[in-house]
Amino acid sequence: MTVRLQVRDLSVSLDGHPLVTAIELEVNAGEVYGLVGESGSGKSMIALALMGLLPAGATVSGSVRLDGHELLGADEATLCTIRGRGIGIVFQEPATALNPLLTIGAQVTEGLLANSAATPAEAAMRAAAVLARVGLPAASIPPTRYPHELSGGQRQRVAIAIAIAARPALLIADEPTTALDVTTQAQILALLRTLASEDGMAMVLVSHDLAVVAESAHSIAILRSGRIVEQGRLTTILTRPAHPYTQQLLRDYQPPELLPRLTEPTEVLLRAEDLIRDYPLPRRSFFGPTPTRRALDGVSLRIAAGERVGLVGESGSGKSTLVRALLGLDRAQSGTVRIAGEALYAVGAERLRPLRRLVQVVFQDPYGSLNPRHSIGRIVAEPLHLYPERLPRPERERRVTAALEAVGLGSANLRARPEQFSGGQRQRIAIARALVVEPRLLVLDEAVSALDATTRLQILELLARLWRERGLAYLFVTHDLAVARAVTDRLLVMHEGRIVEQGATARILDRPEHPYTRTLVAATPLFDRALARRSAEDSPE
Amino acid sequence: MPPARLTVGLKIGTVLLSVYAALALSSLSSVYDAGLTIEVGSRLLAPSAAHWFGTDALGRDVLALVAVGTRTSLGVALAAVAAGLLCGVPLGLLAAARGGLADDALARAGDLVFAFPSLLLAVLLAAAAGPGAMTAVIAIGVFNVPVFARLVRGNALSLMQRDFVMAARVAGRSTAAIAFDHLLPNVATLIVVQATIQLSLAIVAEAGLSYVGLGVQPPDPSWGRMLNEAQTLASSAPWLALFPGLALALAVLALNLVGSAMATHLDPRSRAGSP
Repeated sequence: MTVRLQVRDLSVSLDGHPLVTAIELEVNAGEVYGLVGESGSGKSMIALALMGLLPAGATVSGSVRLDGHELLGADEATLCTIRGRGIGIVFQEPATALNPLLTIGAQVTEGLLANSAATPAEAAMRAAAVLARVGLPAASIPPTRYPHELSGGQRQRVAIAIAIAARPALLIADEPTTALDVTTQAQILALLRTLASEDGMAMVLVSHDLAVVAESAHSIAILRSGRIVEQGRLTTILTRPAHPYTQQLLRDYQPPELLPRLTEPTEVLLRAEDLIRDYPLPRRSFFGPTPTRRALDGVSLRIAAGERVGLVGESGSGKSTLVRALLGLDRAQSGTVRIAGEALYAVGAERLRPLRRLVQVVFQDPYGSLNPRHSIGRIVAEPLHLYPERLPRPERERRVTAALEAVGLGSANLRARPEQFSGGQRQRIAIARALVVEPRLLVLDEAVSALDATTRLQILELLARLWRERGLAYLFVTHDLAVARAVTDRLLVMHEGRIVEQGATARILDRPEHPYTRTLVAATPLFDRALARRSAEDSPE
Repeated sequence: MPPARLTVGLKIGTVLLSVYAALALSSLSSVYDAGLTIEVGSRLLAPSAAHWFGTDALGRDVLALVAVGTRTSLGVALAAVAAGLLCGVPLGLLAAARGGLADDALARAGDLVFAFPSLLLAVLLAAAAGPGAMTAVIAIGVFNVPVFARLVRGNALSLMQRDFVMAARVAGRSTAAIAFDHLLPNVATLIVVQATIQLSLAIVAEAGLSYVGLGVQPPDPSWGRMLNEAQTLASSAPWLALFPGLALALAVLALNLVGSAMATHLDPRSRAGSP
């Protein structure tokens, strides 16, 4: 096997602060090398250093050799050639990686023209061939399409086509599937793996998700604070981790055990009947009718007091529309939502407030859900507006402090701004805000999806404790089946605006009945399953 | 670290604006009274130790005229921008927070104002209410309303999709409360930056209106009217045009320097990244 990428003693620092230190990597032809670490561990910095795209002011030392050519210290013209022909890159967000004003064929052709002696006609033909290779054959997806006419997964395929068009020696994929749905993710990972082995590329796969790496990589490096703590064959490291940090990471990756239910839930807190919601689409002709898309197609569900219900589905399945309808942020055009027996859409503003006190929400992105201009005291106190009269100041402060104590932030300075807290702490603040009015149902809209494994585990443990102490009911909206298994008793599977399957979580995940649920379960990268498969691949020799 | 060029710009702009503020404030006292009296005997004197900026056709001190003119120009411009801000910002917030009919109505009204020639409005107003400082404030102010309304609406609309606004709605906050508690603090920096730009435009607009006789009336001096009066004497007494013209140009320059420095400093993208 030939070594294509060789990194020796690579260190990068910015303004004297080391970002990555003493990185050693060796990637063979056709090999997928996983770089795993939490946010801030330096994994993306390594990817940038390999491409020579470090931020201004960064100093770099060591050696990066691609097919024997030294990249560090090479002049810009050489680097341009190497980047164009030698290195392909796939980023996380296909929507921003493509030029919205160029057809997909033109974008693939562009790189070919710049980096080879091909004529425009030859380049266009080769571009069509590359697009077909990444699963976009001209017969179904013509190269004359624009990025906005494609789905997220198809756009990522275009980005991959651009990256591999010049047959690079090295393909860097930086969180290539993080923005995609699980079924799409599985396809893209399989595609990348195939391309790497067929073209004999060295591939560096950067990811925060251990399961994604376990599905795809041959070798793996675990990063922490800019250093590799452990590296080697994937199966060896994941089955027999030597470093305590790797051991902890593997432990954190396994979600906690589901706490047993104490009593059978009886009292129905929330009941939705036959919700239908259409969204208007742009008109096709001036006089024609406005076309619509049915986001909710007769959804009914009920959540009892103290019940932990999961809602899974991919983007576009109607999950978000359903959440908005249940919270009264948006009205379904037909159907009813009853909270504690009262119809949410029928009551006036005054009766709505007590209903809102019963149901509160925690959103996905802890950076977007807290107003950056408000102090955390003010943020947590906001739902207290739901009480008919303004609470006296000491009472308000007592409640805010109690809510922050409940989420383990009892000592936080109430005047501090969100920017002074980490992502995990911010999510705790968002939970405290929901708890301040003592709700009985918490809607958790992908509330742990944006968090690192360790933080996610802590938040899941916090939610489990709150459930035990307060008898809260949860509606846990998630795309992560492992999380759903760890925190919910009952699961609703949503697809194309309908709930296609529901039942006990363990039953659905172990023995899915609906075809869509089966696809979903099969596509989800599950750590244990991936590891078992990879070990089986390794052992025959 | 902001680039050195911008810090220098901010310093120059701030110093210049302080000079203008000092001039405008000093004109409130009686120090220029002597200079403003008509003395035909000392008419059209070139700049000297006694009259730094020279004297005009009526023997008045040009420095005194420029100082009092500063008060007029800045006063009218400030009042007009403040009026535009006080009307435009709430309208923009309301349009973004409520959407629907309120939003559409505001957009069309804004288009109407933009489509209407500003000078024509000033002429109409002057015909109806007579020319003067108030006419100038209204004519310039009206055109500032949609500028602020659009700026605020556009930015507030994207904020409306943020989760913290969703959380506020789940917390039972009213549209008005969301607009003022959540949207306004997040667009405030943009408003400040836009206001400095509008202020420099308003100074030029005020000078233009005074130049054509639709602004402040005699005997109150203003930069625009001084320029008008200097026109016929430009070859024999160039200082009459030079000093009010310089005052106008430097005021606009100072506001633009401060405005762009603030825009750079307040924009987190340019603050965090490299230049």
